[in-house]
Amino acid sequence: MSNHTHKPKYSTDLLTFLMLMALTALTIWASFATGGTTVLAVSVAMAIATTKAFLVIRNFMHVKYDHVIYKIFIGLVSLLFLSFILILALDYAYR
Amino acid sequence: MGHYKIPNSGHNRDDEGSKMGMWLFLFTEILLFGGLFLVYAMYRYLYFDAFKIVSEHMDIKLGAINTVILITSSLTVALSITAIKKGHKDFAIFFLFITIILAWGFVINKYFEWSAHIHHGLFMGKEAFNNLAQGEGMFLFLYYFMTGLHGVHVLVGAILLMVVAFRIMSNHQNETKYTFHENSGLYWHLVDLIWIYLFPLFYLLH
Repeated sequence: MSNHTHKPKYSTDLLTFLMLMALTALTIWASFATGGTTVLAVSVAMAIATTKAFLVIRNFMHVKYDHVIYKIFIGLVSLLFLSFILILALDYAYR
Repeated sequence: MGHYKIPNSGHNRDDEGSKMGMWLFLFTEILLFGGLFLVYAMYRYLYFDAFKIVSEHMDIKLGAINTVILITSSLTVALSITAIKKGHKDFAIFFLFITIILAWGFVINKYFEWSAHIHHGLFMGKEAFNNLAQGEGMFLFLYYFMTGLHGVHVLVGAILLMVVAFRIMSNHQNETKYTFHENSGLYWHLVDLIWIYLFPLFYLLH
């Protein structure tokens, strides 16, 4: 059961927003600094995007207040998707 | 024969079940876009140079503006949910209307962006598009398909949030009953979540 007893705060939403904006600025800067299509550029861009996704899911979607089952489900779906990427990468690497 | 009372008879309401159902739906959405991201990754690997050439022509400024719009709209939806939980109905409605305006801002921005590409003949079936190398055309096809599908989600989300606003006005959603509001908010955040990955993949990596 979700924790509906927690006190929602406007300040938490605003802080999350500021962090997301800062990360957006960082990812634009990093795309120029890392040269666009290098492995480093892709890795940095995806790392920043995943950090932003984590903030949205945790704070805006309130998963930090929810029952642990939501965290388990989200983790499992993420693992499923990562396994798809891995299988695709292995397929292309060894053909 | 003993008599018994059916629990919750006539007043079944399962907020947690409703939220769980929404999350299961969101997982199907994540895997739908996930499949498209895999197709993108595969073609980026196959047509590395072609993707680089076309992505250099994408307008980073327009992409960044749309990113700011969606992040701001995610904030206003979160604020509206915080407001309804606190019982601040007027604030909740106000923030929802700001979100809906931002959603339209996103769609209008996308319209101008697509129009510019189409004006230059860079759309399926047009001459300039047909003359592109295979990988270049594939980048644009994926760009139209993925941002187009995302755009449809933006429109659906905006309609949902409009319904939420009207339900608050008619007191069908309030500080004790806000699951529909919360679930619509979850959908809107998913729209933001997908754009968080679309932005670097189509605009920044070149």
